[in-house]
Amino acid sequence: MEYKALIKKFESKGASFIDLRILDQTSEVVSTENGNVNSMQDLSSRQFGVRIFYKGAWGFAYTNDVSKLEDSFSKAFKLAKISSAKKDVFKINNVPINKASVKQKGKSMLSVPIEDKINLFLNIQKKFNLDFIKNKNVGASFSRREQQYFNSFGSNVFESREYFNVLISITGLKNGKVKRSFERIGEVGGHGQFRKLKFDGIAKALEDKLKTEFIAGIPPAGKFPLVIDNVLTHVFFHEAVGHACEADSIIEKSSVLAGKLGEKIAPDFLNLYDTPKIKNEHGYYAYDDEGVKSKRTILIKNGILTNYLHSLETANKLNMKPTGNGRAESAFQVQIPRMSNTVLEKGDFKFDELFEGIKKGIYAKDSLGGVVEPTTGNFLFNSRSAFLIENGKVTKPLQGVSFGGNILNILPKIDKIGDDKKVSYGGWRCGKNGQMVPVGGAAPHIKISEAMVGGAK
Amino acid sequence: MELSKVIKFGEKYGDVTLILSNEKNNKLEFTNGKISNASHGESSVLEIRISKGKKFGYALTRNLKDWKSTVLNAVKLMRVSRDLDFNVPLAEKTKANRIKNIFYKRAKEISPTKLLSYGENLMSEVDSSFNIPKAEVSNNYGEIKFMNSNGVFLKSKETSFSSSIEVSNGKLNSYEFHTSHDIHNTKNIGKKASELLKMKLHPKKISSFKGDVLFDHLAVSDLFESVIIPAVSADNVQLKKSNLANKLNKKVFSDALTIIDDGVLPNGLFSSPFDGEGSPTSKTTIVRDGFLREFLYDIYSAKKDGVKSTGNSVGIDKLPNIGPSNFVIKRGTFSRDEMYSEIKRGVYVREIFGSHLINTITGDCSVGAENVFYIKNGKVIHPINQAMVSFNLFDALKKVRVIGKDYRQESHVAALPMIFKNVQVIS
Repeated sequence: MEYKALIKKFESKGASFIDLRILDQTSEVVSTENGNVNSMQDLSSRQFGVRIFYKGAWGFAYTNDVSKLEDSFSKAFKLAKISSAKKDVFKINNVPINKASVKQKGKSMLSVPIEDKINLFLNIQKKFNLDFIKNKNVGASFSRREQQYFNSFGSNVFESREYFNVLISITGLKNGKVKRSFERIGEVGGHGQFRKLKFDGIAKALEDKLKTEFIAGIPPAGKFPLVIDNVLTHVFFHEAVGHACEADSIIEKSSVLAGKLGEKIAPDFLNLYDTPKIKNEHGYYAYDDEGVKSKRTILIKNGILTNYLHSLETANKLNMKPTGNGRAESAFQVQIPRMSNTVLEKGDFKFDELFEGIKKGIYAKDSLGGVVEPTTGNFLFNSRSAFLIENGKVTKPLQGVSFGGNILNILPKIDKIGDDKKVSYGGWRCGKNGQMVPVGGAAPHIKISEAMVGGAK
Repeated sequence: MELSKVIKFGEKYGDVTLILSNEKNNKLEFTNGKISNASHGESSVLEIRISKGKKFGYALTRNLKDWKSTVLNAVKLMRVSRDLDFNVPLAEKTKANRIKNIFYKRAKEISPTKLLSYGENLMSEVDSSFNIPKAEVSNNYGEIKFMNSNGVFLKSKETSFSSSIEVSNGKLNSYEFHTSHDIHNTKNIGKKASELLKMKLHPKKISSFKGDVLFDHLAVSDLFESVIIPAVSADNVQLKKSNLANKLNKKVFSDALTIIDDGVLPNGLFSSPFDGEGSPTSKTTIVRDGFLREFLYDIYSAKKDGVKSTGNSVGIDKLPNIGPSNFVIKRGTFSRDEMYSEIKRGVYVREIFGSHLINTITGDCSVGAENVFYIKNGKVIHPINQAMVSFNLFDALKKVRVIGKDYRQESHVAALPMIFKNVQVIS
């Protein structure tokens, strides 16, 4: 049976909302180590995901066998019926209807011969010449995601996107110590975008970082003024503020920002938003996985919490407008509210001015990830590297630091925002409810007047 | 789908290894105590390795109709691949193991209404003053078919049943979960989460100190997965990326420690009749009474050391490709109360977080601790807000003496609680 006919059939049985995703994914993974290819994979899949809403309840079914699609509709409908007797009643009626076909233009990286990619990666390895480098890794994945989305309100959206994700890593051994430095690059785009990457510069920067790692001192522990760089700032806002703005956590009452809409949570000069529309950044998309057109959503305006991020379900449950943040890792999983690219708007301070007046402080750079307890807003972050700040100047290199605190306490302590906003292109992926989705962001440097720094990582 | 057809087609290009996995999954999710999503899914994956001499190519598809082009993709990758040190291994015909208690018909065939009742049970014993932001029950059935050009044809099937629950009082949360091959009592899981939250109420601050830390199952499991398992995997040993390289038959840990990787453990979460490349699984003694006895091998890494595979391949996509099955720590003699009474001043740490920050080679651990309780003179005094713990795992295991006697396995590690001495507790 045709897709649309199947939707009609189950609508006539009483379903008030149905959507269907047909997702085709193809990817190629190549990884090289010390002058050799160490693994290659070719992956492809076709997935069907059907979601049915009946009397206030969802049923969801998936398969990768088209001959079982009608069965999946029946299963989803049956599950929705079983759930409907037991649940909160809400309606799905605010559904933006879109008809669109968005195709990525230009040459695909998947059509570049794999031999060329291998040669490129082996050549990148040759750029590393420091004698204490013991291990070199260069690898990448190239993937295409093509999704056809239908729903019973009439949306019909096709979107294809390509991603490339590169990981370059070197490990050095000196005086019995092992240190590693690595760079991750991830973007939405094809060959035209990939070939803009400047591997000479990336390799040089990595060698410099590795050299610094070996002379890095042990960071002090205690309360210090803290300056954090673009990458760490964006990751910090993603983890500590962005997740708390995802409306499902508001509904679950597991967000520290629940009930705080309209309240001042940050300084006047702080503005934060979510936007899928940064071209080529990892969290880019034209339409979300519910066929809703992507748009910028302001989360914090002049320090005031202004919006949450929604899927169709949370928007309808909370009687708010959908924001185009209903995303799923694949058609085998349901759409939930997710960030796209998290952007902190730039401030007025020049780079040097951020350090002015700091007698002793820490300059933390680049993220090794963080943990946030959503209900309390307690967080712990780790930087990949750090420097000591003494009398307003960046001085000695330090090992990465961890810093912790509570988000509602730390936001008011941000007293300077730099004017150097930069898009990450770091190929970030974010995990939630067992689903990984590509995300990104942009941010300037910021200064926090005082934070708890935990010493060596 | 007819695997022999794929083998025949692939053999035009080289030796073929195939793995076909089919999975069925049912899942119910609850938000604030009410059902929020019900799902059913079926999926298949076909993995293909084509090999010739020292070269191989690997491709995977979830679109089974597409098997021919998947074979050709594997062939394409084989052609551009570099030569390995040895010929690509192909599993030989052997007798497959029979593993007890990894498949339960009743866990495969749970009706949606029955699953709903397990979900309701999960939440039924939670203190009524607490909210339940999230809860989930699911069951899973998986079957694997393995075939290669040596005439090997193997099959296995297993079930799993999982439940998880988060409990909150609006300020603090607690989380509990369990996975087993058979259906388990979900009431207990919810009850445990609720009791944990009650224990956590009214946390106090302490100042940093050096003392004894009782790490519970989940923490021990994370630590072993991050440091010990990589250190005893032959690929890391051969590349000198292991702290235990060159230490075979030497005393590396305290007498109290014996570790067996048991791929045939009845009911073991990661038991299976054969490993990822079709070798029979086995019991491998990694550490006996503190002496390092054996490493984990797949066929390729075993060839390098002139030994036999221990049945620890985790798949055909890479070479070598090694992983644990059930990493079983030998039972100690201490009950929980006896363990507490061993501690003059210390903390109990139920879970750790930030395990990706552990130095997996040196064993230096500086991680966050979750669900932490202050212990003085053998008594649990009060919960602690936030803490970090810092120590070296290899050093700690050289001295470990107090090991618990009740198992919990949620990952590869069949874990027991242990006390580590002289751990830096930062709060």
